[in-house]
Amino acid sequence: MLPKRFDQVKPFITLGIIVLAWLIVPTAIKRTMRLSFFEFQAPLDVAAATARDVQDFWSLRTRSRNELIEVGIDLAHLNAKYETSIQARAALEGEVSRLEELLKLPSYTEYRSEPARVARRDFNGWWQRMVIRKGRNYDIPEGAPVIFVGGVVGRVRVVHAYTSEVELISNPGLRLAVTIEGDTRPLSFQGGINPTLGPARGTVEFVPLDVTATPSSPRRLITSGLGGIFPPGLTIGQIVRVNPSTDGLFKTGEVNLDPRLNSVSEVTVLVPIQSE
Amino acid sequence: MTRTIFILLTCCVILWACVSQLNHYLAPLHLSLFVGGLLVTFPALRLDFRTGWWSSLLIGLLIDSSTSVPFGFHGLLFVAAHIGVFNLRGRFPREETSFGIVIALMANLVLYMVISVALVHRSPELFDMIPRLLIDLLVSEILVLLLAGWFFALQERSLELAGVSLRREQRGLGMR
Repeated sequence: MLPKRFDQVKPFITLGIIVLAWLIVPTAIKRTMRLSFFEFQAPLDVAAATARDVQDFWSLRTRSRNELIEVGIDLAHLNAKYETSIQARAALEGEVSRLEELLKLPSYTEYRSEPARVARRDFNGWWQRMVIRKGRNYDIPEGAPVIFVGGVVGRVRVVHAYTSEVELISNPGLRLAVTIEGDTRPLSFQGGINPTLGPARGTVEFVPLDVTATPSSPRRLITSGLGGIFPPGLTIGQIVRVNPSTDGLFKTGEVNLDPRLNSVSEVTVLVPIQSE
Repeated sequence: MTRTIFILLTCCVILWACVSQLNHYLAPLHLSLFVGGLLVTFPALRLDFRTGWWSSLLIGLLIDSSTSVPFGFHGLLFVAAHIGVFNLRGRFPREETSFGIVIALMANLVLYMVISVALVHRSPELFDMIPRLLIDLLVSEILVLLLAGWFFALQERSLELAGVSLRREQRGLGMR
């Protein structure tokens, strides 16, 4: 029979063995296990999201015909506006191509827009991510930018068979090369301040000393196009405050992200079109 | 053992899926719930050592698969929590539900603190993050307090329905 003292220590020896065993397991096996575990629980998220859609459908069915007619009229107005915008955009694209050819400039990466429903939002103090209902079945690539009506949502972190995980710009670990609208100097944006009952915020570093911003006159922060993931000109948020940094060479700023980011339910993945 | 682990894992997946949906709806308020301590308490208090740590490891890995942390982070933390509780359980009335609730609250608190300390370096503004973490912790503890009794009963009844005898294990006769 083992001495009593050894019996008390045995669980901790087991823990040590498990930790050691886990450390020496090859990364490939861990990755396979991670994907397997995810695919095992993915149907739960998709089923819950589908149930929400069905709920929405039946709640919309309770609306009166008059309401639907009014919404239809509003949509017709919007469609007319969009038609005009599409024509203007086509003309601008033609102009851009003509100038690119004339000045022998490299073309911007072209993207295919892939709209996707949000299956699950997971916003906590440690990480900010969401699961969308499109994955390898729609050729979503890892690292693809994700946008919504208010600007940038984030980027695709992992792609699964029928779902993808998106890392939000409010995620504490995410950094982006950005610039202020009307300025070409690159800045560094980092998300990660997500107060309870308030909109997400971020910080911007390496702001030149001549830049000012106040809550009454904020500056719009946009993607710079550097880094090759995000196309330039997409809205990140508004710089509402800048303070001199400790080294005195630059300023650091506070960025308010779009409040709609907290409740986003429909996003668009920008899938780069591979040129031949 | 396999049947016991499967049943416990199923119960944990049900709870975890429900909490995930709650978190989905709470996301616009920037509130988040964590019930990791509740997932490891029942196996640590009521089951034999090996069955308990296997189920803790598997539910931890399941959570790891869909979070932004290295794979195995929650798995190993849950096993450590299981071992900590298992080592202390002989000194307390471990079959009492009220004691189980206290342990679930404490395990949840410790796990939450450890995860927060491990991931705090990611945040650009540490002091801005603390109120959020404290509010999330408080709400999570209230949820654990409300759910613990029901969740222990769910696991116990599920095991009984599957013909797993907890009484044999409590008498040191092993599980059947």
